[in-house]
Parts: sequence; C-alpha cells; structure tokens
Amino acid sequence: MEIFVDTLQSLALKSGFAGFGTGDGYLNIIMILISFVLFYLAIKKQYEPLLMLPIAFGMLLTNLPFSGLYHPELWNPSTNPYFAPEYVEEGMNVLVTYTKEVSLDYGKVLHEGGLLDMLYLGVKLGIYPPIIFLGIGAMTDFGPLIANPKSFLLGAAAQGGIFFTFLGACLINMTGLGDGFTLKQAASIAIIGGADGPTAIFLTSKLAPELLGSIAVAAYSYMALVPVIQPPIMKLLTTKKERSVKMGQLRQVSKLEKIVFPIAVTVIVALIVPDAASLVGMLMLGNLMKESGVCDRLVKTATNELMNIITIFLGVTVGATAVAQNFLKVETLMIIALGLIAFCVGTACGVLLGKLMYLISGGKINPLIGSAGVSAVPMAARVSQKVGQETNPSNFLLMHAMGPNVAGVIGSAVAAGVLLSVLG
Amino acid sequence: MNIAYSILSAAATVESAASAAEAEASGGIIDRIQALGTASEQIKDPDYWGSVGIITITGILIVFCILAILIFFFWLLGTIFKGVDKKKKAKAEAAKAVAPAAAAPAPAPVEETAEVVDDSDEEIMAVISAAIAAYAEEEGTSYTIRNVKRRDSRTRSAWSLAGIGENTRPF
Repeated sequence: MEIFVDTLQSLALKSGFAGFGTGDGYLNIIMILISFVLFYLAIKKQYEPLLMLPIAFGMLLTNLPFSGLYHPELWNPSTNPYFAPEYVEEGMNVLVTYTKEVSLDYGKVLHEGGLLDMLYLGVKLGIYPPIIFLGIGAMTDFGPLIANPKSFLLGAAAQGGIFFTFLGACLINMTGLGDGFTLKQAASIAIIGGADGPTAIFLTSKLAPELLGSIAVAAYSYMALVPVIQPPIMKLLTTKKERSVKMGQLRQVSKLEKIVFPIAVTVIVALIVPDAASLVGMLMLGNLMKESGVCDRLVKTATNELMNIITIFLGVTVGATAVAQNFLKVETLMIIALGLIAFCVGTACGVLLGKLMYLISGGKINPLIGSAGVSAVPMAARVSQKVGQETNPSNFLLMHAMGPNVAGVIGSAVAAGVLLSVLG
Repeated sequence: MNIAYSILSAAATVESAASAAEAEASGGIIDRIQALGTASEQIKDPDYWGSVGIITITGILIVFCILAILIFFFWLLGTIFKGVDKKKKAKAEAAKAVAPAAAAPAPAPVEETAEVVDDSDEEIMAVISAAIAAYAEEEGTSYTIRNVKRRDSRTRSAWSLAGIGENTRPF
C-alpha cells in the first residue's frame, strides 16, 4: 500500500500539474490561455491559419511543464556556450586551450534536445525561411514587374516602414519602459514592416532569437489584417481623382525575359548584399524552375509538399520559442505596437511615392498600387484592387499592383540583408 | 573620447567594457556599441544616435540603390526585347507581303455594315465576321464587313470585364 501511495505521489510530483504550481509555473498557464486566443484567431477568424495554427500549438506544447520538447536554455549562448579550441605550438608540443567563446554548443543541443529543439535547428541555422522562399518563387509571376520595372521603386519605398520603425524602437529606449531594445532587437522588430513572414523569422533568428515568438505572432497577425489596416491609410493619402486613375494595359513579357529575370536579380542582389543571397537566391531558384518550364516535377514539390512540410516545422518551432519568460513582458506589447506602426508607415511610404509618380507621370499611375509594395503577396495587391474598384467600378489595378507587390518581396529580403550585414 | 568612454564604462561593467574595447580594437563603432550587452548601456554610448541614424539612412538608400539598379537593368532588357520583337514582326510582315495576294473577294450584296477601319489580320476578320453572322444573320439577309476598328484600349467591354473578373477571382 505504501509503495502504491509513493508511486502515486511521485507521479503527481512529476506531472505537469505540479509544474504549474512551482516557481513561475503560473506564467505557463497564462501562455496556454494566449495560445487558445491564437487558436481562435486561426480557426474562427482564419488569420493566416496555415501558420497561426502551428504557431499556437507550438506555444501550447512548449508551455506544458516538464514536456521537455523545447529547451530555451540550450539556445542561449550564455547558458550553452561553445568554446572553440585554440592551438598554440610550443616547440614540439601543441597546447590546446578552450577560451574563445563562439556561439552555441550544437553538440549539447543534439544530445539533450527534445523534438522541437531538433526541428528548431532549421530555424536557428536559417534553413526553413529560404526553403519557403523557394516555394514562393515557384508560385510567383514576376511578369507585371518585368513589364513595368518602375514598380521596383514602389517596392523599395514601402520598406520605409522598416527603417522608420528601427528608429522608433531605438527611441523607445528613451522612455525607460521595460528593458528597452538593443540594436539587434530593434532591427528584428522593424522587419515586421516588411510584411513578409519568412524574412522576419530569418532575420530575427539571426539577430534576436529571444524575440522570435512575439515577432512572428505580430508579423502574421498584421499580414492577416492587411485588408483592415491599409484601406483607411490609402484613402486618407489620396484624392478621389487619383484613386480613379486607370492604367494602360501592361505589355506582354516574353519567356526569355522571364528566364533572364531570376538569374539577373540573383547575381545583382547577391553581389551587392551577400547577406540577402540565401533568401533572394532561393526565391529566384524557385522562379527559374517555374519559368523555364522544364522542371515541372520540382515546381510541384517546391510549391506543395516541401513548402507545406516546412510551414509545419517553422510554425510549430517558432511558436515553441514563445516561452513565458520571453513572451510575458512589457516588450511584447511594444513589439505589437511597433509592428503596427511599421505596417502603417510602410503602406504610407508606398502610397506617397505612388503619388509622386502620379504627378511625374502626368496622372498615368494610380497611387493606390504603391501600398502593395509591402510584400504580403497577394493580399496587399488585392487591397489596391478593391480600393481602386470602390472608386471606379470598371478599374482593374490587380496586375499593376502585383508589380510593386512582388518587388516588395525582393525589397524586404534586401532590407533584411542590409540589416544583417550591418548588425549581424 | 571613445577610449575615455571605454575606460569609464569599464568601471561600470568590467566584462562588457572589455569586450567593447576588444570590438573597438577590431574597428567599427557599431560593433563597439553592440558589444555593450544591454539596451540601457548601448544608449549611453555617445555615438549611439549617430549610429542609429546612419543605419537608418544607409539602409533605405541601399535598398533604393539596388532596386534602382534592377530597374535600369530591366528597362534596358525591356527596350532590347521590344526592339527584337519589332524586327521579328517586320520580318513576318515582309514575308506576308511576298506571298501572292489572294484572289480578290467577290463583294456580296450589302445590307448592313459593322464598325469602321481596316485591319490586316485576316484570321481575326474571319472570326469576327463569323461571330456577327452567327449572332445577327437571319434567312434572306447577308452581311459584309467593310472594316473593323479597335476601340480605345483603356475602356473595356462588358465581355472583357467579365473575363477579367473570372480570371482574377482566386486572388
């Protein structure tokens, strides 16, 4: 009987329920409730459900005490440092010292990590986001951009939100609220303004992995809210006359041009910003596979199975990084606020440059297509189309807006590369 | 000044200042600021706001420059391809002109005339006349199409609006 009670007791102590009661365990309960809110957003509201659902589930799993699926301490260089060996020759002897601290001890991760730790390697090592970009490239038609290269400018302008928010995040340090943001954290928050999930995750995992959970949740929530956030800004900044501009039909783009495009973009971008090479390179590889027309099977895999598999891994592990200690901070609320600012400023910058182009072109360019410069393909382009059609029902801006939209994908990858090379 | 600051911060936090000094030795103000672990330490650095400003401005400039280079490249490419297209078309037209002209079409009795102006593409003419015939011809009447004019491409017909609507619905 005693043995039975002992067994029950030890089982009870080892169970997750006991974990809720010890130390900061109650914080896990709050995190689990937050994950329920995200489930609601994903399932009922359908906010980017393909990513939001795995993210919410990862958040749930990681906050169940003792589940041991994800160990944040393994991913922190201060608790799991790796000391690279240094060899010094002294006569015939070679002295080996281990003092130079270099990033993480991945060996320990492999020995002691749980399931989600293993999957998180793909995020940490920067593997998943470029593979998602491969799939995106294989689904994207850059035709409208090739037909109207000026769209690149709108795609660049909309990245203004990123750099404005970087400044904003640094300014928040002046207020003395919370711990403030380091330069790396500020850059990671700012990239939310690129409205591009994989890019945001890629940069954050390199610069400020401790913020990954909150940044991913903010980025994907706002991407889902593009149709709500953008139209008021677009209407505020444009006149009815500007919104009703009809744009001439785009020229036909030849197959050869579509093939040259991905190769040329890769070479030009990778030579100037080598840090953007993995994202832009994979995006363009996917696109070349599609446009060449000779890799049908690869295109199918990249756009379906491969992308879906990686989306699951990416979502669940990014969600898993949202452990209570990292997430339940005043900084998370600031990140959510700054992310919104980044989105709004990005949209405004795009529309304002659109207005400038409207003036310079003598009224041939509809400024509404500027807002599509914040990636979020194809949602942002649809918003341009919708707002344009509200003003003039016979107006079709969709294909014109796709130009800045896909340029925005390249633009935000370049912006991420720039931030990575300066701060990485 | 910078070295003096390094010494000052060394008094505050030995470890971070040591790594900061190391970073400074290897060059780069931004590296030095980054080596100061926390945000509250970073902001105290005299060069903090200068660096933030420089990162912001250079960042946006580089993004614009790269995309401007791409614009130039694809504008160039576009003009080359347009030139090639024109040459091809000119060649094709020359080949058509060489081909012997078909026997003059016998003019049929005229009842009604559709729209205006000449278009050289015979295939399209045939399709349009067939469509009009199928739509409008009754027994005992016949039509001759004298010319067909393209309408302003900026305004779309109900048909093309419907077609665009159909094609863009999934977006």
